[in-house]
Amino acid sequence: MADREQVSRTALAWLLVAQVIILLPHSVHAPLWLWAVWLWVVLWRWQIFRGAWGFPSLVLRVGMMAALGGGLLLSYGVKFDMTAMVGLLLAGFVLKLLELRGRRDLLVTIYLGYFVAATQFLFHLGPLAGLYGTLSLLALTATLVAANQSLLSHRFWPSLKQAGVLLAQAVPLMLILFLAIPRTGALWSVPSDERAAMTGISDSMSPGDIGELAQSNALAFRVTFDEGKVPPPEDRYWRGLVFSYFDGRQWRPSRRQSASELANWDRASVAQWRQLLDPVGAPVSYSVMLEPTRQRWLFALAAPTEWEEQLGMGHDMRLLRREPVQQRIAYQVTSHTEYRFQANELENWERQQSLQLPRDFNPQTRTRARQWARETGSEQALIDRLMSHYRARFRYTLRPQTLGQHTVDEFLWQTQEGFCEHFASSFVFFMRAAGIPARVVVGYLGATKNPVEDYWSVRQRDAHAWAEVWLRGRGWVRFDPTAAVAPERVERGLDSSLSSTDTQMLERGFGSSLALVQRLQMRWDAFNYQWHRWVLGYDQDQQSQFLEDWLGGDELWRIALAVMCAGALLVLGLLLIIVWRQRPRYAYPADRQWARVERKLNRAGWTREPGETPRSLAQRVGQTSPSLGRSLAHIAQLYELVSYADNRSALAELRTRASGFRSPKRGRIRRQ
Amino acid sequence: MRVAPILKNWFWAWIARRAPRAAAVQLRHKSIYVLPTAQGWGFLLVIALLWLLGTNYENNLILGAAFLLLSLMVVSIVHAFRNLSGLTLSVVRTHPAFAGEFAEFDVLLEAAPGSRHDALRLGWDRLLTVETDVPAGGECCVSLSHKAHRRGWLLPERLRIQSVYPLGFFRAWSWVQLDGAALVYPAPRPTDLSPQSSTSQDEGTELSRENQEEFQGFRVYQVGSPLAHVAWKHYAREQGMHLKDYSGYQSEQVWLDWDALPGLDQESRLSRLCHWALAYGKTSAQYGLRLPGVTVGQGAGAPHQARVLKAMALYGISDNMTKRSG
Repeated sequence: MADREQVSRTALAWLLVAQVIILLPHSVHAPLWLWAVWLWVVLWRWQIFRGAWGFPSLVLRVGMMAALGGGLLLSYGVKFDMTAMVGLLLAGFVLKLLELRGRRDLLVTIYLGYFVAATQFLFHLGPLAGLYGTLSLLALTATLVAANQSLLSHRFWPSLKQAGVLLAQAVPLMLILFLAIPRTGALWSVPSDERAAMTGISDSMSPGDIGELAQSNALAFRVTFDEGKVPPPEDRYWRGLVFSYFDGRQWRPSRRQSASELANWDRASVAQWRQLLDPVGAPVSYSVMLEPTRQRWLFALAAPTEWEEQLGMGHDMRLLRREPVQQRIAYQVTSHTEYRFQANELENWERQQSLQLPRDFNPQTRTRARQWARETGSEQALIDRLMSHYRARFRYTLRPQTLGQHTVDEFLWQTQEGFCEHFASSFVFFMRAAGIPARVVVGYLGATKNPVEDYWSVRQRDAHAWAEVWLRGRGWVRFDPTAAVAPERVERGLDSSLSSTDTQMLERGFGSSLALVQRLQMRWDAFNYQWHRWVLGYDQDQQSQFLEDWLGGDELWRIALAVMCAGALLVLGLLLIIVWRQRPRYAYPADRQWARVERKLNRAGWTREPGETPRSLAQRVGQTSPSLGRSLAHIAQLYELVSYADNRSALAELRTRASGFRSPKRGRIRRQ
Repeated sequence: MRVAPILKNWFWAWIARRAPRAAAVQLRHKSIYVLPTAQGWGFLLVIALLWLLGTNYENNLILGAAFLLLSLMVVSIVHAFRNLSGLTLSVVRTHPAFAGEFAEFDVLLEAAPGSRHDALRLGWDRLLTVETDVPAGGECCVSLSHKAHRRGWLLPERLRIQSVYPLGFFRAWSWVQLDGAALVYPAPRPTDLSPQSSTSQDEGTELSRENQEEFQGFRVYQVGSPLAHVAWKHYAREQGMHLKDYSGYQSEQVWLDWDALPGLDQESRLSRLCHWALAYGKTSAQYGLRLPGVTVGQGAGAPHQARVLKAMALYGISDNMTKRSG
């Protein structure tokens, strides 16, 4: 019977509000025409409400759902993944508005709304997203409250207030559940979303790529150095990718480099080539919190010597992960910034790989390299000569001239201006042409300390490319040709190394020149960091640590006990508040005392009749029990004195009399 | 098979002990029961789905949302309870009814100090529930119907008061036994017999048995005359408002007599008498009631009719006893 009940106007209004709030964050992935559909549905609903139009027929509803499904198919493509699923849910959530006939439909829509509202967290994860999500839940809860109100009371704002009170009271228990309920890890593998474009280093490098990336201020990762041991600026080269293959325009990892079988995944059994790494000097330990990259490589200082269980080590000294980084992850690494790797011999295949050059490109550089190699005689002298060539003529700029087919030739001998990838590319090409094994390394250079929290952030603008050259007896050695042109880049970051016209191209936060705004940004960034670390990053490890600290173990019975106790405490606390709020209130102090006396009389079986005054009650009682009647008459007199004669001094006596009043047990004879 | 009724009796006795019958009943923790509704279980399903989504995508915010909704459910238990707690119910007035019809009870709901009670549903019959709100610190009066099966004093059964406010996940309810009886008259049954018993035939003029309402002619309408007697045909012909004059009853002095209905059992006789009392109540006749041992003198008007009907309702029933013990 209750299912066919009417939908209240307030509930419908709140549902519309909630729909706007819920649809908004989904606009980043859902097609914009969904809003047009929503407006159309709302218009229809309004007409139904006015009585102008009827509900759509079943055929029409099926047709609309099919049309919407087709539209989503066009927008998302045939691949069915999570984004498409959420799109379908959104469409259902919107169309359900036209089916809303009774209370049951309304409830189904609200429940669907709760689910859709939570899926926004698949796309937005920041603290603001958390706040916004709470707002969505609040609007939906207000809808639910309005749906459960009586039909006659149109209480729009009180619904919101009630929902707010409910949610606020739910927060403490929610925190405990969040901390204590065991995280099981994914139960089955879910389709991941590879659609969204990411800013970040990609798996190839052409001229201009990194220059473009450097204009973004987006966060790449955060680093916390253990025990505050921070390496000097010239060692803050975060290696990500190593490119050994050049096709004339683009640098890429060679096929052998990208084969994950070649990586060393098992920490216990150290591959033979890893024994060729010879750490020198003191280690640096740090933990990295990496933003999602959707790639399999991680960033670390050269050369990593210890790392976490699930990670692997590539043949070219870079950290790898089996699965792409879909979500923010944290990992702990120890590196030796001074090291020797493959110092004595390079295997044949690797040597060939590091000397590979495309045949028909950059003839001028090839001849010049051979010529210089002959002239200088030693590898180090050749490198020095090339570096001084850079230093003498080249310009470091974000906006170099466009290069034609022979990129290295044109850069080295004609335009002579470019960004780090031009320098790295030309340097490696030159070395290879001169017969020295070399490769391009891409990653980030630098880090900015957050003064609020003790961590360093690395942004996309810190993206960098440099070179590594294999020298007999020294192994792979890092050379950064950019440093030859713009040494400030290494020491002080990108801003100080570019010309003022170039720096205008860099993205930065609003009003970053104001110290106050900058400080606020730092604080916000620090807050973000804490949010990611403690809220989003709260995982099985942190949980078992927490349970160990607070409950003395992570056995199931402890968790169950703690959660139940918390729930019971919450319920009891709220009940106490209710009892307190519903306590009887007395307009006059004498009333409270009289009520005490009356309660005692009640227990003894005497009840005041309606309309009976204290004095007449005393008389009636006195007829049966004269002594009781006398003491009662005295109290009644005091009561009258306090109440009507405003005799303050009598109040104290009334109070003592009332508390001292004892009425003898008397059978329950008269209970009116 | 035999255990079920025993358990049922025991259960209701237990309920009755927890909430004894009283003139004014305040709902306290002792008499309020809270259990989840179907919607509550449905919401639990939504939470389970969210938990699966959050777990599989290892998304702490979705998990957080699931946990928030779960604790919202827990909190709503207390609020469902709160919505009934402290509410005081009392019967302020009862309306008499005929047996087989519904007796109306005016029930006053008084809010607990400082609290508001929303979307309360109360009633004896599931199909006849009334929904109402009680504003903060205020009161509200609702009129509830109770099926009247037999004549006499109707002492209401357990009144069920319930609400699913605020979120519909939990239903809080209570059974209230209120003092305050409604008078139930016998069910009126038409009969062809004349109420005039043989002993009273000498009084007044005899009426023909077929047509008790002797049509005498027309007289001019006077304000306050029963509309049933208006000559509508004349009125429609625009001849003015006239009354059909049943002067046969005017000077009539009638006794509604127990003995005029021989061969019937007690309840059937009362039903016939009740019908007559109603019929004569519509006229201006002076009528009285004669039951074995009870006589109501002749008279007319609404209070007189109420007296006559009450005498019939309580005939053979001890007034005090029924009212107390139910």
